[in-house]
Amino acid sequence: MLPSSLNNVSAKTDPGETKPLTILIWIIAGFGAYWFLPWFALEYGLFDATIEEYLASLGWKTRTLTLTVPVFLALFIPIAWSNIPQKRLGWVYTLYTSAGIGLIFFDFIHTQNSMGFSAAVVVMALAAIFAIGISKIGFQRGDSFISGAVVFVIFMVLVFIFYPVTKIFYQVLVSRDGSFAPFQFFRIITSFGVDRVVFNTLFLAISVGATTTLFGLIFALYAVRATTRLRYAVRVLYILPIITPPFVVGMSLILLFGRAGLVNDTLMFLFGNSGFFIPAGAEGIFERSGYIYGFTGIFLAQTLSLTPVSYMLLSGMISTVNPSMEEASLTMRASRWLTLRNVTLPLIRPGIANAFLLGMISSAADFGNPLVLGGEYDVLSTEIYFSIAGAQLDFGKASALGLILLFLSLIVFVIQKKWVGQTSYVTVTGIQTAGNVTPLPKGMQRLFTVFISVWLVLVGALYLSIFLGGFVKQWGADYTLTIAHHRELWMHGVSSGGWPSLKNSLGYSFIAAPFTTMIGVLIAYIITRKQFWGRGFIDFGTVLIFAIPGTVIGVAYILAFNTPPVELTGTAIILIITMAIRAMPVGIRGGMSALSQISTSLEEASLLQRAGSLKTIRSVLLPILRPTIISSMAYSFIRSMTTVSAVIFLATAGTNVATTYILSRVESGDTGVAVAYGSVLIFTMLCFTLLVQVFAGRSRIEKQVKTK
Amino acid sequence: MKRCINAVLVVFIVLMFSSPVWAKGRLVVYCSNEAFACQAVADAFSKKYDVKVQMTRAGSGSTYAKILAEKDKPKGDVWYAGTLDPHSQAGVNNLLESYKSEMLKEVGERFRNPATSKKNHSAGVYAGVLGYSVNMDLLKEKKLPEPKSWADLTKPEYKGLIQLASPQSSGTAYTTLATIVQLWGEEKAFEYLAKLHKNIGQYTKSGSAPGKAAARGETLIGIGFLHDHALQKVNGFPLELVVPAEGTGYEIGGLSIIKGARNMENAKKFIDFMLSKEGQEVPQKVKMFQVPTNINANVPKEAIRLDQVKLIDYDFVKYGTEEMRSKLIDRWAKEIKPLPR
Repeated sequence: MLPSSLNNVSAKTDPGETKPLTILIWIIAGFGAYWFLPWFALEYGLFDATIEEYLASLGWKTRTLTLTVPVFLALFIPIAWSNIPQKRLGWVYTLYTSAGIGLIFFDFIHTQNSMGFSAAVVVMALAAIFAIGISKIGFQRGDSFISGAVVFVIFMVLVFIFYPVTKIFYQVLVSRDGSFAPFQFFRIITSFGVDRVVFNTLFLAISVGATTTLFGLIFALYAVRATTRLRYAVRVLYILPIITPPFVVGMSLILLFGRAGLVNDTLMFLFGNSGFFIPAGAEGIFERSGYIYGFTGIFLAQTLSLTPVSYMLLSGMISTVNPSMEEASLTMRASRWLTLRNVTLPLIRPGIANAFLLGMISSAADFGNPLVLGGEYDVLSTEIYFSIAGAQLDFGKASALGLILLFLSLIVFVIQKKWVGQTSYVTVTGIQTAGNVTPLPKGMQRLFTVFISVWLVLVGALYLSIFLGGFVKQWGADYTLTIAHHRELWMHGVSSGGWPSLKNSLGYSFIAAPFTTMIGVLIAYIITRKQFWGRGFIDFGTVLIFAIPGTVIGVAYILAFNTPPVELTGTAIILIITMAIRAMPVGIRGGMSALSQISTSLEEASLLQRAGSLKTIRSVLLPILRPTIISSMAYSFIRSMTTVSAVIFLATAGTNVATTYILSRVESGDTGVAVAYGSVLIFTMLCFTLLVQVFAGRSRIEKQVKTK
Repeated sequence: MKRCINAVLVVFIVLMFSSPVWAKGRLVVYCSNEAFACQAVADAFSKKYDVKVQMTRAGSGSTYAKILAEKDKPKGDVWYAGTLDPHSQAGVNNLLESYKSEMLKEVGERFRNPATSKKNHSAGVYAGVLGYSVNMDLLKEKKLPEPKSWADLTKPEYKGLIQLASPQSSGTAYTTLATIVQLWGEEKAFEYLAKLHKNIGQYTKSGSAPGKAAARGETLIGIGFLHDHALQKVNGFPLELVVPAEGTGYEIGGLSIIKGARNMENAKKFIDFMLSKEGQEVPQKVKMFQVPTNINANVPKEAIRLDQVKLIDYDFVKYGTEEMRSKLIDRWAKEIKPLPR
């Protein structure tokens, strides 16, 4: 994979590039933080603390032991300007900083205190010098920027992926009194009803995977091959799953098909007791039914919201099929139907498998729809949630179920990557292919037209019901038009109603988006361009980032960040981090696909002229990557705005976000307000997406969905 | 363009972090009531005493677990609302501070010291009557008679039309279970529950869900605490609140100081405030219709008055213990839940 020339080139750069000045800058940063920022976490948050509390949390004010920190830092200065040979200096840095970081963590864990901002900055400074140290020893051919990036990424993966996941294992394997209990997991999973929950989840996932793949295929064939005008309508479908929070589809299904929904009401009015078509006194032939709660509802909601994703994937695949192969088949007098069956479909078989597996993962990870529509159909994600937020708080059960869900999705993900992802039947050869796209067989097209029309009407009705639901007094009982819901949300000042949560959502997503894009692209760069010891670690971390379901992240973060040394629950920071982690696949995929299209010769040219990696990335790669970066930033932003599964575990009264606020209103029965807010959210996201498209071009957003 | 982005950034940051800071001391409230009631109480107290109140809302089971986890280094000061049982448990396990408030003399006799430990660990801050509500529109549509008692609920014409929360996940449902047991004794109670099971359309997760479902017409009858249902009725839903004729149980909302609270003075002030007439009338202003325990406090007209309904003498000590709880819930899960419907 890796061009050997690149390695040779960077080997020629002088491994002593980092000047003592760089070290000094980091030391000063650590110093400043130490004197002015809280060493211990503030109980009530940085912005809510009183002067006394702030002063009391400064390291040098409270504990004499922390006075060693500035001494420790100051010792770097003579080392940096000494005449030790570079390689030995590298060892000194590496060992010295590792000791420092280890001591800081040990102290915090030992004293059961939580780290404050300055401790974080000092650790970061030490980590940076550590990176410089290992680069001096020869890691990454002495390139300190890449060493820093690698250290940074590994650090992130360690703290925010591996550490929380091991906490889940710990919870499962260690009993309450602290002793090792390897059979606890089996006791939990063999206890009442867990097998049924797992079966439910799998059954749902497989059905939804199969159905969305079939429907996606129909849509894709139609969009690419049909000759009707309707195909243009299909092509804009891609936008729906981006802008719609996952549980909103479930909510609108209740509005339409619930026991008191529109369909039941209408049928009741026509055929129920004393209905329109029923003679007075006679029994009605229709009874209200609550079939939407349970499997039917979740299945329908997931099919509706996941089919566009599968469509995007398959339509991309179908448009890469070389028309001349089909033409060859047609020339040999095969019918269009035979051609489709024997030529086109086999060519896109990997795409079909891919769509099926992705549908499965998304269905198993979906949390909002089962929560809203679940009834008694329990799936893993909701069971996990209720073992934490229900009447009895049971971390053991939540962790065990979380592990099962994590393994299920890891297995499916690995199958998808290793088995399906590798085989490519793409028939693009680089040679300009002539030939006309074969249209669909006539009968098939007619059938599809009917199917898709029904689908579009249904989707239209769903979205219309969300929009209208916000403007009627009480859906199902009183259809008087009113703006009371919207007034309650938006007209009572910016500190009540829907404003605080919307503000939080916008603010957190706004901070998370650039952060996650930066790290995502960095990871993509390291994975596609660099080869070194420890890369497998990053690879595995990336796989986890992709496969880990939101509910599992939620549980893991509660377990990991609720106690010293890193105590983050209840803060805005944990929500921002969660959003960043949840959106990171966007950045990584965007970066990887863009980087794989850029020839390494450009970078080699830059490196040959003795520009460092930082300079090369800044002046060669970034300008080329800019469109990708902008679009993944926008898409991360949107994703953070609509995410719910992980943040619902972590949002508190003060850090409520839009989606959790809506769900809490659903919970307390205020469907009108919930739907009103939902429609505003969808509308905001729609405007934002369209705006981004104007700037970044539509195809990019489309590509992001395709790779979702 | 760049300046524009900067301006937007600054606005965001200012919006996010603008909050009043300087106040006389703090108070950290763990609240197990509905979020809006928690907020109203926190605001009222904060305004009256100029104290910065930080509120964390979570169900009573979760809050108990949180207090237990933090027992070496308590972060919360007071625990407001939520069923008494977890408060009792916390008291027994020595996680709460004894406090005999001055205001207790204004509180009804049986709410003064209801918890198992009997050491003034918790006081009753409100009461809620168990019962069920009927969606009258649906009832008319189906031309069914209105149920009046627990026994009525087992009539075959209500098949599939009743919702109850699952005792495995909901404290409300446990109260229902314990109430039936106290009415008729355990054996007869489980016979009754088996009959009731045939009529249940769905066991919900959360205790307040059946009332909401009844309000929206998703089910005919929802069993739960009637103050939850009263809220739906005030919101305009066609609900009829029924207190079963045989008599019914009730819940007591707990109010406790957490042992080792860092803001002890304010915590005591908060307890006094919440037991006073003024404090107890706060939740009803935001349509939370639990019955106040302060005898002078105004009982909202939407609430069920305790002196006008037939209440059983609910034994909070006996049925609040962990053993009794798991015994009844396990029996329900083994004997009733798997039965066909």
